[in-house]
Amino acid sequence: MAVAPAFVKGETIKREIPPYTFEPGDPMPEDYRQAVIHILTIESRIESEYPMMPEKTLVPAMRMAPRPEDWVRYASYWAQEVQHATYWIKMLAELGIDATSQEFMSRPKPIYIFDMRDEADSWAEWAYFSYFADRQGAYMGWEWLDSSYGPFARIAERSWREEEGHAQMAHEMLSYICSTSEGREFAQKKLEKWYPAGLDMFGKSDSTRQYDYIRWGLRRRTNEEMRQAFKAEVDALLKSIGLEPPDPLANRRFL
Amino acid sequence: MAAREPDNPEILDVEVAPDICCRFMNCLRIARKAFRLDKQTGRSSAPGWREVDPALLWQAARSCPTGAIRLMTAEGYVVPRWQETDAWSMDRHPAAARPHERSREPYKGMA
Repeated sequence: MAVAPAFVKGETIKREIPPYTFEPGDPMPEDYRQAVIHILTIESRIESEYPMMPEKTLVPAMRMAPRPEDWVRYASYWAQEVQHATYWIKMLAELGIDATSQEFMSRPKPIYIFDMRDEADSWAEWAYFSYFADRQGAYMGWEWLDSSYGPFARIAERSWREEEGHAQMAHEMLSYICSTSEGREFAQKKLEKWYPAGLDMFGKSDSTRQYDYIRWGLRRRTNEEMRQAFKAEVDALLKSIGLEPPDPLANRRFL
Repeated sequence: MAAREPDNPEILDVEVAPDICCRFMNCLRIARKAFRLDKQTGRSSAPGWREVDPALLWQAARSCPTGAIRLMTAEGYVVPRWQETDAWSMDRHPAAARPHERSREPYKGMA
């Protein structure tokens, strides 16, 4: 088994900008403003696909859902993600960016696990998408508690808790699949594909931008610190339903 | 007219509709002492709702994806999830800009 890299803890980096310092109309350092826009662009590009591209985010899942209760659960999840999309659209609009434009939505997706969702061939793959992507969304929501940017700070707890709910939905989906030996075997095979993408969602461990974000009060933890916490949580959950987490360094794109 | 959180109506009872509780478990994470999951049925109920801040009950109800949580208040019966959706406004959701003196005020819904 390969060894995961060591990492810097966010708490060792001195924070320079206190909670709730900036609202969108305030003058702010240009680097800080660009950092806020960068975070929002990732969130908005991804989550605006819920309302703007239901042919990718709703229809295929509803066709693959195995039971009527899964229709209800998934449709409820989708509706909540539509609401989340309006947060990021509004926040970008207040910084002068139209996130509903064709130009904005034509940009490549910033995280490759979202391209994998578009090619998901089974309910198990839909489950893994939310298992990893929505859980990562919950981790990001937690990062914004007491953010220096007021809108992030206000949305943090709600985003965190609701994305946790989406990850719980994924666990329900996967638990059902793993309730038979055939289903568990299929899910284990698919896990080899999705697990590295899940860990890659946190980006490179040596990114320099992450330290600026922590100093500016836009993040609390480093990429690798989040990834290790995420991995520990995911591994325990996977094992609870009879799945074996793969080698954490196999097939990874970002270390 | 249904009750709204900004009016601070007294909550008389909290009900979780068992047929549409889909085990997202947001309620258990947001208002931990209020809600409990029945291990037999897998559904949530709210036996401890009197023990928590009413603001947490409103938030748990708004964040329930299926709208399974209903509040009986002194001003009427309300499903906060759908009440909020019905009144959804880009200018009033929690991520929208606010004057600095109100930046830390808790969100109290859009209805």
